Amino acid sequence: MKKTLFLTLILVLTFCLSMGAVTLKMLVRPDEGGVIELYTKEFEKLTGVKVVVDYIGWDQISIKTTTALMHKGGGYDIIFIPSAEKSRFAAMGQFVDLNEWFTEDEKNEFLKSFVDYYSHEGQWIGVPWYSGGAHFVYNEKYFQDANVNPEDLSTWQDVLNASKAIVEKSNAEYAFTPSCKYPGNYYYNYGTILLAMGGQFFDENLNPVFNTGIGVEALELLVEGVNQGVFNPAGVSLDDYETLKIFQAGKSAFMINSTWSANQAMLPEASTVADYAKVRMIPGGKNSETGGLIYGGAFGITKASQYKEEAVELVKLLTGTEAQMMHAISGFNLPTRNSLFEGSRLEAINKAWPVYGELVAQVEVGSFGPDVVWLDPFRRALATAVQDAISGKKTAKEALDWAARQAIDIKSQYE
Amino acid sequence: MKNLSRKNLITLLLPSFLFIIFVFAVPIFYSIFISLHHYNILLPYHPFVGFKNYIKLFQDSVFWSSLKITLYFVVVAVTIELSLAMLIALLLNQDFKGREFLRVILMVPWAVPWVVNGIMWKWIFNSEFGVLNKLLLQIGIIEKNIKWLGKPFLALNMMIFADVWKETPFIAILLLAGLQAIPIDYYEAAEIEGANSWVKFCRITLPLLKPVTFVALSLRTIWAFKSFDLVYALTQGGPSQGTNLLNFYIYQTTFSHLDFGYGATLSLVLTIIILVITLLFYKFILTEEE
Amino acid sequence: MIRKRKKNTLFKVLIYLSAVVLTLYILGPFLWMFISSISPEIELISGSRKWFPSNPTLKRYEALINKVEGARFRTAFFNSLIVATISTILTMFFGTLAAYCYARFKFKGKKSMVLGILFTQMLPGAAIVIPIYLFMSSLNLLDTKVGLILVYTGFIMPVAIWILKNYFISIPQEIEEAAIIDGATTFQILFRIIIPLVTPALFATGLYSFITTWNEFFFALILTGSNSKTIPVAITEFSTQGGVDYGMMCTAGVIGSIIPLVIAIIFKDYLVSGLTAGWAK
Repeated sequence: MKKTLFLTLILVLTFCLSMGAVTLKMLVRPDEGGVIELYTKEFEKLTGVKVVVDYIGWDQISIKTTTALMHKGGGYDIIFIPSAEKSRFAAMGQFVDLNEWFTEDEKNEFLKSFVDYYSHEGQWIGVPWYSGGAHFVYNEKYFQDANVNPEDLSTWQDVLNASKAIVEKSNAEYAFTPSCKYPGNYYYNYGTILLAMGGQFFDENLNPVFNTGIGVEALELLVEGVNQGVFNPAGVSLDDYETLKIFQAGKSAFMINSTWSANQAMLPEASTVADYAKVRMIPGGKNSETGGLIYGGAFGITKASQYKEEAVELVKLLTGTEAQMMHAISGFNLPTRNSLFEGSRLEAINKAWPVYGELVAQVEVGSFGPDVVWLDPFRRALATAVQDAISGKKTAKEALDWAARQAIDIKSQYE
Repeated sequence: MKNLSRKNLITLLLPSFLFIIFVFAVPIFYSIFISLHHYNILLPYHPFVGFKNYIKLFQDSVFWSSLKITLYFVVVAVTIELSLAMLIALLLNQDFKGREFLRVILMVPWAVPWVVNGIMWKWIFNSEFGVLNKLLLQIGIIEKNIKWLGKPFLALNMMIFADVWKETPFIAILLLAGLQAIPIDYYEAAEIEGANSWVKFCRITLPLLKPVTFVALSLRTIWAFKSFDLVYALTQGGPSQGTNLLNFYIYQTTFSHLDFGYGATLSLVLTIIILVITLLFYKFILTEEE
Repeated sequence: MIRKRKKNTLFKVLIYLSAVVLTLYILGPFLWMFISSISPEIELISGSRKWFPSNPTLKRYEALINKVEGARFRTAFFNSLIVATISTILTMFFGTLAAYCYARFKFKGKKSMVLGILFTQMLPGAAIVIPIYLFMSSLNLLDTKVGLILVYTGFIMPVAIWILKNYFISIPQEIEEAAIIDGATTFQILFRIIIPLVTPALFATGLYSFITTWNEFFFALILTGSNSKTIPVAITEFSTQGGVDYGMMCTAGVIGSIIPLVIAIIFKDYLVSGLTAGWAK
């Protein structure tokens, strides 16, 4: 029995030690470039408040945050809110209204569209941290080999026509490898093409319209490319990181990929085509010049936090001009502060990251995906539809009709 | 066997019993409870809906296709694993140089974490940079990269391939122990009667290995039904839901739809399916023994 | 006679051939993961026909073992060590008591309890993770090693009891009967006579529990954070913006497998006897 006592004692001791000490706890996505690491350290030095950061991989963000929010924020003071999860994280009602913590002037320093997006039922729940979106990145050499002037491609039909020549005359195995594995990959396949061609997911009453007109055209175009052998059918099992690798290896002539990936394609230490990777606006459709999906990230502060004041200060530092500038200069994401899109700061970033201006231009014309709490299950159905169509299991129309029925069904479960 | 005094019963059993109740029993009752509710955590109310979730199951085409895929996965994976394990066990029961080395490395797949197994195979199967294509190209078996995870049915079979690598050694270890326990004079006696190797295998080895085989069979079947980590790390259920095993579908329903009620319903149904199959095995083993 | 020898040679060749194939099959995938972990990023995607990188690099290992970037990974490594060790000790202690009880005594509901143990193995993780999360949360045990230890102890308890029970049954009862006549209590018998007899078995079961706990992913994912994150979760964290950094993942995979691999290889005989005694009876 002594043994039991001894063990209990150890347990109690470890338990006590794990409590105590005043700290801020933060749940956040992976920290590329060490920006968070750097500024939380600085914050600790400035204020003496200890900051504990939990980095969580993209795969696990949704489940991890959901379980945390289910129980008063799970002990976190600051929680990262990806734009795609905004609606449902907000619906769980665990974030403070930031209007109470920021002055009107401070609020106006951020892009209005982002502040609006991160508002839910009149409450502002997330301080915008970064922005980004889908981009059209191409391999200049392959285009030249095929005598295609990238600036001539104004519609996706043009892209498809040019793809044939590119595959025939250049070293590219495929003109394009769409990323279609995860539901969240809709940024880099059908979703962005749909918006660029001037289509929509839903009408204003949230009835699906993507299974009509432009919506069907957009998917048929992807399928046509696969059937002609110019778009890579393996895309159904690849995510955006893997298609980036394929582009970096010189196997694809162009890709639709994230802001971060656009930058990665141009890094000599990671890319074999660093010198040829260029960005242009995403081609559009008959009645639309360009467009695409954009995303962002923000920090929310939990209602259950005992140190809201300190948390607000930390968030202000992390989303501050200096931190955002560093984030941008190291080429990971675009900023969310108006001051970084103009004047000397714009020039400074452009100097370090020459395509900055082009990337910003693309994000400015893009839009966030459907702003609904059931975005995740909907995107899951959509991903299946896109995979079904590309792998030839269904026609584009059949697949999208199925996804539309799913969407209606999913929507009804939340009413 | 004697009866146990109440005091001893409590001190001996209670601690472990509490752990088991806390980790398994309480949660399962909670699951039964919420499976009777429309329990979506994004909604303000979670009304009692009776068996509505269970009725929904019958109209849920994703569930049925997922069940079909799961059955295929379980039957094919377990069959291959058992047969391959039997061959490995027979091989390792022979006397040859390097046998000890092989017995040691047999532990490798078993010890590798499941998550690592998923990552490893995802990288091996990678259609552009994966070593499987590289190998087959160099030998000359294929001329073009194969998209191993690009087609639903092929992806499902590749997943089985990865599962076989990880799980076969465990069964082989069990079977080998079973083989070593068979007294050698059985074989000698058969030899005197002029039996050939095949006859010896069928008449002596197989019958005596039956109990071990059944244990391995039922354990592997239970675990195969519950496969999750592999789907999670390798395919995420795709493409076209072709590798969407039931346990992964449950995870999706619970954490993507946040429909806890339906997720609980699905997991209870999966539990019942496993339970029925295990009871069949169990009954079979018991009657065999008596 | 000659024919028979010929057949024997053929048989021998066949055996060695299968042994070689089997070795490649088992070690190949893991070796490839190791080779990838020491290949520079650019060589991973260059499509070279070589089997070994021209410029092998240990920089990823250095980063994880030595550099700041690896700090969280190292913490996770030690968390895993602590969590797996303590849950194993707890399981062994309480599991031994229960297993002895199952093996030696008659009591009400015994048969259904044995079935119950089997039943625990059938529950899918997703079915029980939510209530456990809520439970831990109300006990203030989320993201603590203590919480994870409690859950893991409960988690492997049924398996440990199952394996140990079979060991105890294999010990002849006469030994205890002699002691009972001498007036020893149940506990004295258990600790003075039985446990010394089954020490190797306890060790084997302990190793099994340790490896199982070390490798567990799903519950660790949901229940842990920076204070208690374990190795499998840390491994999947080497993801970048959208996907997976293969080189880093392979490195983390290799390091994360080292402990279970070393245990499995060094204590192979114990483990095999433990596994077979537990499951093969």
